[in-house]
Amino acid sequence: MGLAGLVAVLGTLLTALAPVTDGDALCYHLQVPKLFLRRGAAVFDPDLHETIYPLLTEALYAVALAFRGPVACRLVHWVLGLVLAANVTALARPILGPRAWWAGAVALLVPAVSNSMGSPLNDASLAAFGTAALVAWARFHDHPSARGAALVGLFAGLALGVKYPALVWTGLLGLAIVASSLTRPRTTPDRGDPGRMVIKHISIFSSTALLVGGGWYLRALVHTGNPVYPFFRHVFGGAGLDEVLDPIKRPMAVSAWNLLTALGPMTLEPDRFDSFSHQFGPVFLLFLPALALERAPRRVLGIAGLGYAMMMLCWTQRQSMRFVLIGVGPLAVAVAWLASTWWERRSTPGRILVAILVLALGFEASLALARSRHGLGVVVGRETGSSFLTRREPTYRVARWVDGHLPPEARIVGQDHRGFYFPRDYTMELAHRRRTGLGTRGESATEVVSRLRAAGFTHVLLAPPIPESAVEFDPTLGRSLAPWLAGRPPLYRAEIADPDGVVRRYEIHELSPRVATGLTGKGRR
Amino acid sequence: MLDLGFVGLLTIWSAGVGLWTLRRLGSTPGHPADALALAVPLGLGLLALATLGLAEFSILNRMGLAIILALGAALGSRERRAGPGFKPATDGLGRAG
Repeated sequence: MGLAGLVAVLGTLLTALAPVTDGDALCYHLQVPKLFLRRGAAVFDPDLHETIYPLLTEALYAVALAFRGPVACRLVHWVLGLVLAANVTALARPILGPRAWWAGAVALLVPAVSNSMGSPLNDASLAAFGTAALVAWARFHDHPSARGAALVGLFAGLALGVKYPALVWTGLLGLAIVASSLTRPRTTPDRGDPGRMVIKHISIFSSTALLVGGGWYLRALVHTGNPVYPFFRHVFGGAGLDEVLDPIKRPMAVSAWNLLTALGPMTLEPDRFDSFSHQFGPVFLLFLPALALERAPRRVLGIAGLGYAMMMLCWTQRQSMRFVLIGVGPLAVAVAWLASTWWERRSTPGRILVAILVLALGFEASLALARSRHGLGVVVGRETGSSFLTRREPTYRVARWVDGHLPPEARIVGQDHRGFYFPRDYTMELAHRRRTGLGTRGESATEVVSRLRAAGFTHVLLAPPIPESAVEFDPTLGRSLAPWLAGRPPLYRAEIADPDGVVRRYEIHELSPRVATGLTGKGRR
Repeated sequence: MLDLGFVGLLTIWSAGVGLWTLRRLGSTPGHPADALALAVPLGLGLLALATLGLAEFSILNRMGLAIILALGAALGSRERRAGPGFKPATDGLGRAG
């Protein structure tokens, strides 16, 4: 088990040392801190609505970008993955003693965790801060005190700053604080009647969490009128996007039975909910049902129950494994307890079950190691980062042309959502259209161009796949501009393949009434 | 490798600031690994909040960040001089670490 853990650490480290090509990172996790650094301030860009999200992880990426670059951001997230494993180990220590690290290894080897660790996103970050909050609660549970409640609130507040699912986790931790305060042993520092203790501890917890984590939500409230923008706009009466909670985000019908048994379909059909890469792996589904047969300590059941409750509540809104990684740690503690119990029994079936667990973890470790193969050439120095990106990230190639040919004050609106590598102001056209409705009311091509220029854009980037049906793609911009584009040669044209084989035709046009004189950059790959 | 070195230093910085904060709260776990498990995210979280503060006051730049990092390094070095906050034999809850 230890070897599998080390293999996963090595594999994720090698992945994290390679240049960044992760789509979501290039779309907003790195794009937002880049924008903040360019402006020197935390601005709200309504066409990049993630600028008003909780951005604790992205603030750390701003530090990494200021002094190093995107690979440092990847490594920050990798460290947070290790922090997650360390806190799961800390959570298990009162239960498993010297074998506590088994729980940390189980958590680290979950494919969704190891995959996330190597990407500069915020899923492993949320799990790290959320699990630290749970460790703080476990210590509070054993010794309720005002300072203990404050520490739980501090970590809950930090988790609130990472991502919205932490709201659910904070609520559950609040309930756990109440339960711990009501059942505290008599030898605790805080004395007094249980009711007053509950009020005192929950007040300290809540106010600390609000003080530490509330700033992000206050920003959203001030700029948009909705503290959880863009979610639940009908509840808060402010701005928002209904698409973020579209029914397509919930492939499984929301019922009590489905939520209770969701681990099954999510394990067996990860593509249906997220992707093969962001799966839970087989370990939880294979072993957790045994808790019904073994007399697990209340502490194990309580911790696992908290984790699964978090997952179920989040799945009522969005059914993705990535957003509920906070629950992985508690479930890993339960699996580790089972393995330790079976091992201690010294029976052949018990040892076989543990061997099956180790084999499953070995499989998960091999996934983590295999994922690192793409960037291995850069890590060992056989290829430069620029060459790697030119080969594997289409927007990097286009951005290099932009850097050499467009004026510094150019502002680009584009169909590709990956804007990080563009060394000019870049806006995703779809986001602009969602906000303004431009092109959805039957405007002529000339009107669309005129409105884009009035909005300050100087150039447009088209990036349709070839054929258009190759991937999910919104062709609205190209179709609405078609009459204007006819007979107008682009400044730049290139057909570039994504690493997954999809070819896109990139074209850059100046948003000018004058017709450009011809191509100044062309290529085919 | 420079990126790895930078993030390594950042992690050490965070551990120092986090341990200082845990000591102020009287909440340092007994086991050293558990203490670091809480200290590192605490330090990183405080760094992130400080970065937000700089950004809200429109002074998000290398100089502002360097000042924060220098202040944190000063706290961390005081923490190091104060000695380990965790008890070597048992944790704060009376259990073997």
